[in-house]
Amino acid sequence: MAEVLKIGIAEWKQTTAPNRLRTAGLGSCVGVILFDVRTQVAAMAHVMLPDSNIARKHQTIEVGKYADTAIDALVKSLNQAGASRLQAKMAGGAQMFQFKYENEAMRIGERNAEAIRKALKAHRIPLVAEDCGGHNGRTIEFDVATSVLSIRTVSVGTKEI
Amino acid sequence: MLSEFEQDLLKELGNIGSGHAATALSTLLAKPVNITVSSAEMEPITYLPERVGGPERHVASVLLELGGDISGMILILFPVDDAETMVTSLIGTPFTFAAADELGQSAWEEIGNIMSGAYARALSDWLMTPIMIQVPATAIDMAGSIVEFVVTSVQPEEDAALYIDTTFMIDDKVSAGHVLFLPTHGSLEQIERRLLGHG
Repeated sequence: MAEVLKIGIAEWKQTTAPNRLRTAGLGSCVGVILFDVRTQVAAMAHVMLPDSNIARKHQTIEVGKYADTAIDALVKSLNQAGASRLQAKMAGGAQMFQFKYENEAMRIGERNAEAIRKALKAHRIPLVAEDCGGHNGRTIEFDVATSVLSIRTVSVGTKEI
Repeated sequence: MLSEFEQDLLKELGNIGSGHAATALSTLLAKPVNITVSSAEMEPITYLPERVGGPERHVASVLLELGGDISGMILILFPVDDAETMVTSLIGTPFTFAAADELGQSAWEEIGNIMSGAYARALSDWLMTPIMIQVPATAIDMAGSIVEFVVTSVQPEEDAALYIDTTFMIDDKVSAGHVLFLPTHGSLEQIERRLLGHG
């Protein structure tokens, strides 16, 4: 029986086919999936922030929350599961509100996506598809068996990448 | 975790802020608006979308940024249907957000403006400190996508979200809106100091 694993804000989970990975209501956060077609294993993180250096000192870091620590954790865990040729897909990083006075915090979605691209590059993992930016929230679901990522928005409906 | 004392303090703050917001909304709509007792929580970020009806709940929202000694954000969330009903009764013609009608859109912004402004003014009066506010922004989307942006902006370095939540009911309808106040953690200390008279 195929299961749908739900990933909350700042969490990450790993599974194998025929299961699916799902995260709902992505705004400025980015949902990133690393997967290996051959071993049919995949992991998804719901990333909130670009860089773990912002975390308070001596605080236990929630690894799924930051782009850098999330990618490291996913790569390590998937390699342990026998994955040999990782690829990535991602979606999210929207700007939910348009203020009259823009500040750096408003660009958080864009910065999240950029930090993930950088971390993937450092691990030499190809980003094969993405749907980032814009002003809409997204719910995403990844089918491990087919590597298809479906993306639902309130205004546009569902599409697949 | 918040202590029981901190919870009571913040709940009282929520009651005062949302009491004024409810009065403002009631005057605007010429309808009774009831609020339930506010709740103050500090809990894992993952729980917050569930509090406001689930991450995929389609909501209309208004966000106001506060600056000064007390900083943070006030977020107003209503189910889209309820927000459309409010706007319809205000402008006198049927309104939906999908139709992108300018008059209705600005009426919704005005509802948010008046409610969040009343909340912020009440906080400022009660805490006896000036609070700077910007022009509010609106978004019509999934509740999860909206609250996660707010938590990320206000409390980026924390693993738990600190918020004060009040439920609004218009015309005794069961369907409810939320007004959330998310202070920065620095402001929490300021609030306590001011209310305890050490400031």
